Amino acid sequence: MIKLLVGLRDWVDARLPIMRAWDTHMGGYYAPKNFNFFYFFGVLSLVVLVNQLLTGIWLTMMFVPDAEKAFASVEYIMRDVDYGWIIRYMHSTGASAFFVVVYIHMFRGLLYGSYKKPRELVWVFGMLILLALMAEAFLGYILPWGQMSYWGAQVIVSLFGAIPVIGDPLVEWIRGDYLISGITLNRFFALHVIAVPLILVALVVLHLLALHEVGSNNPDGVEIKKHKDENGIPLDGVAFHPYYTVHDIVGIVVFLMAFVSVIFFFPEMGGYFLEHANFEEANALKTPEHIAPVWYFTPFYSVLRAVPDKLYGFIAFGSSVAILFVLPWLDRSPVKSIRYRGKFSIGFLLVFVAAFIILGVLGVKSPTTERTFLAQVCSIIYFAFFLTMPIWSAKDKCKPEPDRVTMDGGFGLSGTLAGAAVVAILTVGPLWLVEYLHALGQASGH
Amino acid sequence: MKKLLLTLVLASAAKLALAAGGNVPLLDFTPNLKDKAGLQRGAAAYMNYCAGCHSMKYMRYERLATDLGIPNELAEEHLIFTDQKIGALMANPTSPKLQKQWFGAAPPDLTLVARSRGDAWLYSYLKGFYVDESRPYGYNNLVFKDVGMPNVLLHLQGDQTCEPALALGENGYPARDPISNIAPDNPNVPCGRTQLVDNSGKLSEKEFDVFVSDLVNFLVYTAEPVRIHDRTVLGFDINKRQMIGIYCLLFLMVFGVFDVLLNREYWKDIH
Repeated sequence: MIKLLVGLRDWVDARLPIMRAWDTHMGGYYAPKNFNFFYFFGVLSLVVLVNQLLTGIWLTMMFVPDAEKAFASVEYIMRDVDYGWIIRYMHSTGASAFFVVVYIHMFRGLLYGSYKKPRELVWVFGMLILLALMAEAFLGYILPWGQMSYWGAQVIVSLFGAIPVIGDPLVEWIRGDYLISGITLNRFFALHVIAVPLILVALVVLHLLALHEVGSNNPDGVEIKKHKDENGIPLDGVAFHPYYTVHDIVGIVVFLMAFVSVIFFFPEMGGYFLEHANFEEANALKTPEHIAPVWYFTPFYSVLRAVPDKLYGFIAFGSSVAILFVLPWLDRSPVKSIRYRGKFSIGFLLVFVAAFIILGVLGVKSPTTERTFLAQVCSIIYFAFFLTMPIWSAKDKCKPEPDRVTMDGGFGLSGTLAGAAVVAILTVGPLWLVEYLHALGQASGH
Repeated sequence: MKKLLLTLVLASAAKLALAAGGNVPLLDFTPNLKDKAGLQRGAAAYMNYCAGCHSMKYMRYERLATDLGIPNELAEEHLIFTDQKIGALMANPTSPKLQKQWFGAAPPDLTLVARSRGDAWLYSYLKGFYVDESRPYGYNNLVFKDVGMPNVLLHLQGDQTCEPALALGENGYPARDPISNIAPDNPNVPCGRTQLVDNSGKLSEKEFDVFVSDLVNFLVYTAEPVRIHDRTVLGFDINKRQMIGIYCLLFLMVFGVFDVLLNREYWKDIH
């Protein structure tokens, strides 16, 4: 039996380089041995991607992309299809989980300078993945045909109307109708299940190919390829398989525990993963009281709302995503990792993360004068972080980088917790303050 | 400063409990999907009082009968008033166009209403009708102002009048006098709570509360049938959905132990 399998393998390998591919990407791919917690999130995005593709296929078997039947077909899946509700909750929770892991994955890149030379293309492909993911999430959100699906799509699609001259015809072209309708639902379905997933998978392949060409960065931000043994194997590298496969499975199990907990215990996640208003069928004649995009779009949505003018708001919104693409060329620091960067870099990064979270929180709330002001401040911080980066990243006083990777480097548990505490204070403080000032205004108004 | 802090606390506490779009605090409600008898009463109440106008077009009679422990024959005899079969959807054949003429708006489908509105809202709404001569049917609602729905449960509950809201204390609850236990009115909200006219309905106030609770529990069930009670484990009530989750978590825990050991074995030589 073994002999037969080995024979088959060799037969295929003589015709298709499967052994070489395995060697390049798994058994002979040497990854730095000092990966920490943050390095689980790349593989976790892959796990969620597979989850979305598989559950998506099964949902497609039962879902009906028709304005008259879409909402009912989702409820059919939730009730009449045996365990259909599990598939649906896996898919809806997976959408949010995708953004959770991808945002943390990107934060990891910011922390350790993973976008810096020679990994610029890895970052650019990653950004394209984020873009495709946003499109995919937006297109998918219309499919259950609930009130939020409808009105969320209405709001987002109409944003394109802000573009001068071609705006209105463009909006009509996207919708395929004079308003969001069954035509829109149908084409969004096609894009959601075929076009964008194909692009997404292709981009993931490119992201990984580019990564495996240059090798993984690590928390110390030093290149392991500088020190190789006599066989050309990096001294600080370990074979991805089996070392990181067994290692990543631990992370996957922990992630799955959280994921399963949401699916079976809080599938709506308090209205953030599945919005309450979306349990009401789409009605073109009834605008919901409060239209908010799903939580993962809200940081960028806040930037949009912070600008009083529609066109400039749209430009700011687009720029807030676009600016991330050029990050590798904005960072002029001689070192990669935050571990060896100066105080300014650490401080700016913490403030930036807090501003991003605040924008996200504000985006799910209805605007008040005070909240809008805070959103404006945070939008400025968001852009200032990137635009001033060439200056402070070059001037900041760096610590000497080690020659080899360290297993006990970094800020330690206390340092990490301190960083998290600073972000928490910087986030909760201003958010509390605007509510306080708002209540103050209300109290004096009466 | 202290006063301002207080305002903030009050503002945030009150905001939490307010109905969406309204300014009346919702009544507390904790759904109970364990009490099968109560759910059966809720189903009966739904068929008797709601199904005449509302539809439940995503739910099947059979699903309901199975989950609530009602034999199919009994369900067909007592719950299905039309010539529908047990496997049919609980739709309503009345034309929405006609209904719109009658009520001003077609009555919404109720299958998912507990998920879109919330159980506390439903409970407060069903208990929130009060006499208002300015409305076409003579009744208004505390949490759904100027609602088109007539006061269907009138003969059970009896008349309610609208009274000024109670003034709230610092803790967000009515500021009751410690001796008399009477809470003063809040003059700023002339209509903020209902008061039952004694002995005007068929049911006592308590009986009506149970009736409405049963109905809301039933609607919570129909909104997500997998939330039906499955079993009690170590004193915790576990529903069907949670039970599968517990099995998944147990598997992951056992698998995780072996995986952690395997990982440790591989990595013990890497320093």
